[in-house]
Amino acid sequence: MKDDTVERNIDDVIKVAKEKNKRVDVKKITKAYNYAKAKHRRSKAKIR
Amino acid sequence: MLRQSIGDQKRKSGEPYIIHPIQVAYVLAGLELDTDTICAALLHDVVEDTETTHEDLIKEFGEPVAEMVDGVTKLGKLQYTTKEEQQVEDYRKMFLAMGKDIRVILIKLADRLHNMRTLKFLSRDRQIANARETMDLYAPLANRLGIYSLKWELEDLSFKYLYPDEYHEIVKGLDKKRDERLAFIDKIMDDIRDELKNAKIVAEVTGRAKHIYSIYRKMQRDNSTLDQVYDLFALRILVNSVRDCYAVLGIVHDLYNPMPGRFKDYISVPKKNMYQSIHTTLIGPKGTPFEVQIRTWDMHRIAEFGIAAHWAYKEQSNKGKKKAVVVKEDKLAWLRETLEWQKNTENPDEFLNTLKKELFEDEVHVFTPKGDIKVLPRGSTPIDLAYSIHEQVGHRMIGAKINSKMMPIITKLQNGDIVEIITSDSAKGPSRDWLKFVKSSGAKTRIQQWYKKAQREENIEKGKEILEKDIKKLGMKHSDLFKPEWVQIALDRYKYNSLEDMYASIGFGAISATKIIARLLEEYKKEHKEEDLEKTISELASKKTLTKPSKTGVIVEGIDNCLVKLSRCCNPLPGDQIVGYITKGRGVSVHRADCININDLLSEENRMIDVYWAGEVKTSYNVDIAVYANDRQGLLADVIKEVTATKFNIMGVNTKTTKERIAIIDITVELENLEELNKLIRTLRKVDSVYDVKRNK
Repeated sequence: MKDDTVERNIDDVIKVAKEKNKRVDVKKITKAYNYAKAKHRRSKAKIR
Repeated sequence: MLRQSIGDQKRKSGEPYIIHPIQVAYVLAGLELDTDTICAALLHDVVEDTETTHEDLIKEFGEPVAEMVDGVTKLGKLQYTTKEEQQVEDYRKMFLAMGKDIRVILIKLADRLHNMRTLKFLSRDRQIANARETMDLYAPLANRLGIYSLKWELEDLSFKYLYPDEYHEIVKGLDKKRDERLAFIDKIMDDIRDELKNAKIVAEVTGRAKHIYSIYRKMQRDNSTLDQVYDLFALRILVNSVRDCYAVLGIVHDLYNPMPGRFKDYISVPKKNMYQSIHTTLIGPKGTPFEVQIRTWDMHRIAEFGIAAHWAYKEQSNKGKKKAVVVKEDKLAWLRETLEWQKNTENPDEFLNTLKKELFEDEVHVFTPKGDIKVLPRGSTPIDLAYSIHEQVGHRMIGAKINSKMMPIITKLQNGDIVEIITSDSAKGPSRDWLKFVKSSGAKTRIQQWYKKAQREENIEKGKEILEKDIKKLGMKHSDLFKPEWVQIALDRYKYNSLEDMYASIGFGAISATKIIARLLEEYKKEHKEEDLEKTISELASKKTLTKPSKTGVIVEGIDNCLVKLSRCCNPLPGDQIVGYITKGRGVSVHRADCININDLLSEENRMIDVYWAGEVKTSYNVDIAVYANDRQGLLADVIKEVTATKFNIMGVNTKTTKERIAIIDITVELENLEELNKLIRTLRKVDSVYDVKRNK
């Protein structure tokens, strides 16, 4: 079973995406990450 | 932008929430998905959990990303009467989104996978609920889409939380003999590699471990211990071509003896989820069996990534070793059929049950007389085959030949049957009875659609009748419940455009009258609660005295000092809804509103009278209950002990035991009201070996 505690960051995502699919748009993925991070930070604290 | 934050959103684990979208995106990147899918994964919760709107996403990332995020966003705006209805609507939305863009479900599966990986931070109740849902729907969905890399992990994680003891026992058992098994498999792999090298076949030979839940299922199915499960480790041989697959098969069958009956060729007859491989079980050194899977690299990608492989390859060129994988449209035929069918299914129970069946279904392969192979759900009949060929073939079907012999059209088909459908232009269309026998959702949809169209008027009348009958059973009138504003609430709730649509749906059986009445009753109760209050106030104001209750504790509307008898056929209790019947010379007989004899009485409307319980009169009533249990020594004593412990008087006991050793204990007890009865029933249900307690009607 995969280790559920393995930490990942956006660089890991981009690295795998580029390995698997050479045509991936790194800029767009980075933009989406920054956008999501900012939105989840700005919103009311909500334990999920 | 004005900051509204109180702090970062957090996961239950305490980590910043953004960790979750990253992990979801990582899973999808690993499945070789495209930029938009990975972006949608990163953004999949922003609309639901922040002030971001759908339009904001369109503006920033384009419509495809925004649409995928919308597809994943949970429903939460509509109020449902049951949690099951909410769940069903979630699934409907998922399937609809899948129909538009299958990547939505891939995001949902990756989302669920990460949630399952971090389930330890939730309460035990939530763990069980999530694990159950994952095992019942998400894992089979991943299987259906051919994404084994997600499927096995979802299954294993669900198993871990649903059956933790069994899970840990298997893990411990596997750890014990791991080295021994690895040595065994390593030796076999070396031998096979040597033979393939001699035969000049380019291949990759690897070992693979069986997954925990698969091992558990096998142990349950074969009633065996862990030691007896022989293919805990197996081999996988990957080659370049289909021809090489069969060549390798010949080589391994030469090296080791194959186990009879354990050969499966999914290359020539692929599974419905596009899976292709050859499976064979061989007898290794010292008589130990082991399994071998043989497939091409392309088949391996599809086996691991399923439908995701289709999207990845669409974007790549045809150059190089790995060619583009063209997935034929019929690979997703089951999805299209499910979507079509769900449009016509209003009953959420039916949708959920059939959805589960579709996902879990085994298959049967049959041939048409021309030699075309058709894959149908297990248990399918020639009717299913007819509709899978064409709608009109189904509607005009009058018979079928199976292996050249005329057979009933409801015969269950077996693998390899050659089936000829016989049609006639003068056929009058499908029979309603066919719905009892067909297995595929495609056949069900088309038969139901035919009936909907052809018999709308009849269904409307039938629906009206059913509704009237059920309203009368409650002791109420049509006009009590059918206020226009209440009817509109019910129509909106169940998404009907008109009253006729609703009647037709009831008559057709798509929805039960009980559900409609339940919704109307909710509005009725709201209004009458207020009316009762107004009535009480005005009575107090005018100092009008209420009719006195009889000795039975029942008040007869507008009549004082009349003989009131509680009917022995249903023994009403305070708390039961009751109706009164004016007898000839014996006063008013009071029945429960759900008494089986009441239907006959209701036809005499002028003899029916309103009755109700007087709240303050303390009277005891006899009630008959039946206790059903697996017979054992001391059962009767235990039951009686529980009844006396509740301080109710026992007025009579009668017992019998069936030849299946089921004990039925009939007890008559003296109680004051329905609440006491329910309390007693709950208490008795807890007695050892009791499996049901019912009030006798």
